[in-house]
Amino acid sequence: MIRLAYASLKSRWSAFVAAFLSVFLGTTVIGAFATLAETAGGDVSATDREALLVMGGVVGGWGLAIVLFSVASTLNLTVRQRATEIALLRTVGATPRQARRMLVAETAGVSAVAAALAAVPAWLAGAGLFAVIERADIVAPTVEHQAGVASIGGASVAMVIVSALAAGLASRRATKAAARTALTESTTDRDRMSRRRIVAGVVFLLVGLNYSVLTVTVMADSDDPYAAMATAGPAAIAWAIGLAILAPALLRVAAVLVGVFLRHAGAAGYLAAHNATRRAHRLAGVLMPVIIFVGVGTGTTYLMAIENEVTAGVATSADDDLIAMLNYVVVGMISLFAAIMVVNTTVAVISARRREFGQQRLTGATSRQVTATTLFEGGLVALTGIILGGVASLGTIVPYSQVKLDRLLPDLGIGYFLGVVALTLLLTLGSGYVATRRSLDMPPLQAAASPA
Amino acid sequence: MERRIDQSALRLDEVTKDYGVGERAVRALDGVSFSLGSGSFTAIMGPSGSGKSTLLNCAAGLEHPTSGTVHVGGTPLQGRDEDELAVFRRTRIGFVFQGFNLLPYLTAEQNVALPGRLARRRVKAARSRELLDNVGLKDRYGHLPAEMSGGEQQRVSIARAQVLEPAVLFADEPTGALDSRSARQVLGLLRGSVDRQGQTIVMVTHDPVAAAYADVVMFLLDGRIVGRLPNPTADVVATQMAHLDELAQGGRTSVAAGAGTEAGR
Ligand SMILES: Nc1ncnc2c1ncn2[C@@H]1O[C@H](COP(=O)(O)OP(=O)(O)OP(=O)(O)O)[C@@H](O)[C@H]1O
Ligand SMILES: [Mg+2]
Repeated sequence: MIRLAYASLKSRWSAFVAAFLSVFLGTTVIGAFATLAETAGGDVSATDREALLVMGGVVGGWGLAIVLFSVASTLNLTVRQRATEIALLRTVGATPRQARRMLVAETAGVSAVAAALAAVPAWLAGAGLFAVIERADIVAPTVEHQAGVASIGGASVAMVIVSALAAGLASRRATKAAARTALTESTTDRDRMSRRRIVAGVVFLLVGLNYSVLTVTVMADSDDPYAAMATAGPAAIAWAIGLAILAPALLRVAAVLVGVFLRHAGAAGYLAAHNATRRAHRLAGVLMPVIIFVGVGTGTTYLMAIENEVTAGVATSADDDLIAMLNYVVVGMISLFAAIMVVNTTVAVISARRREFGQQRLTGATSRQVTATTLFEGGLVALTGIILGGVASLGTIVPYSQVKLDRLLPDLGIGYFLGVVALTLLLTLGSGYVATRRSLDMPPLQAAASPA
Repeated sequence: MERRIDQSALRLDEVTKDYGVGERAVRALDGVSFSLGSGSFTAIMGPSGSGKSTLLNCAAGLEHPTSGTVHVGGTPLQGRDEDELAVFRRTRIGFVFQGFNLLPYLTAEQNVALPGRLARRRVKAARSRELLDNVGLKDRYGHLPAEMSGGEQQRVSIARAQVLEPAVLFADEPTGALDSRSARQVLGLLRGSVDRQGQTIVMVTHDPVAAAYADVVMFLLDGRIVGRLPNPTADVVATQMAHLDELAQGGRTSVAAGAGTEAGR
């Protein structure tokens, strides 16, 4: 089975790269925050310990949620892309158990290498983060940064375990149906979302709602000036994760609505509309990181902008400035991770469609028409993600603005949001364009004969 | 009677196709030349691996020959890039693929109409349905490929290849997945578009009964045309095929397979 796993890895280069990159970057981010917790466990004063645990635990905790969710959804995507191949293996005699073992072994192997290689960048990122914390006088200058087996090793092992679990879960779905049914269904994907998935999405939305409400009701009266920020920040993250979990259903709705117009935009628009409605599950893999990126990016940007406005008149200390900078560093790290995940999944989804592009061209499509089709699809995904991410960001912006500025929306203009929108379009359309052109390098006949 | 060739719909001159390099090099086509008049129906037969699909692919501009030239309706295919070929193909050439190549997220009816959309030519819904009716798929308009049997998918791909009424139709084993009744229906249809619309058809087949629908059978062995049989009947074709198998086992192709006159060389 291991040999088979290796052979199949070789033939699935793009899925392999996507899985590798998500685990590698995920371990880097989580490992960096974990070093703060390890440092807190060392020989430090009680106040320093608390400060470090808040940074590593609370902030890192929500970063962890984003990373785990992104890695799990990327792995889910790469496993699902293999559905046809798995179904084929089963029709020639592989048991569902063998197929699952193969997928899990393969994912665990890739993750182990990625997590091990991430040790150095995690250590570097942790040291950088700690340097900012120390400069901001959040901890005493005597505290030494600790980044050893406990933090980075722990983060790596945890990532491998999470990856294997995610692959196990995704492969259970891929091997549930009868072998022959699996073979045909893998190409249509008309399936609905599972009940468990809907429940998980709703739970995250409720958590987000809870944080939003808490910000206004409880935290507003708190003596701690940062209390409201501690609940307002995670609100958008929880909202975004909830909406991302429900992405396939939401994308299908968007595709039906936009499809009414898209259908009239030439052959490319027509193909894009049908692909998006009939195979929403596949495209949803790209939509998920877009929602996270837009939601978290917009939410935290306005959060910090509101904060700046509040402190604008007041004389700020150097420490306050550094705390603001720390915010930027943390948000920047997580947004960068989310941005790379957008590119990562876009490339993975498009590269896996080489065969379909070959078939389109054999039917008479020019490479321009194929490219236009994927750009329409990318535009639809970006638009849906911008709207849903925008909604998620309101979970942070509205309560925080209410508490700090006494009105529902801050008077900050939509400039920041437009910035996030422009960046989102650039990421999805840019990477989609490049990945499509690259897939078109192969002559159509060979492409159509290549594995799905 | 064999038709008189007034203008060639398809012409191949010394077409050779090599795959791979070094030890794994294969000469799939070895100096194939022939010319087909418009309104002719040609069957191509030969053992598995003899180069039939390669011949069709080169003739349709789906594959670039290593050397030699191809003309379709007087237009040379060489020296054009993939996009120019796609534009040329979609209106002039129809192709029924051995592997069907239907788009998985389009229904039967939408798959049939797709070449029209790509070429910005309006195909009426009634027209795609009529084509599906003709191949016996009256109640399958709204089905996705994954919801159809292999033979049904094959018939959809035949309907699709005909939707823009191309001057030349290539079909790679178009009845390979069909029972004899559906096969007869499809072959009758092909024969009809040759006789009534003057379409030129080149069809690869393993079935002597199917070959008998054609005007001429060309036999292929090791990438060369080794025989040519006008006005074929199933019995004679079957005998020739058996003879060809013997030749293939004997390992050499010294003489044309007895039946025809000189095959284009
Ligand atoms: N892409 C390719 N790369 C390398 N060799 C190839 C390729 N395509 C075909 N061949 C080889 O060229 C020869 C002719 O192949 P072709 O597909 O034309 O055969 P065929 O007559 O259509 O066979 P069948 O009846 O089995 O479909 C075979 O030996 C095959 O192995
Ligand atoms: Mg063949």
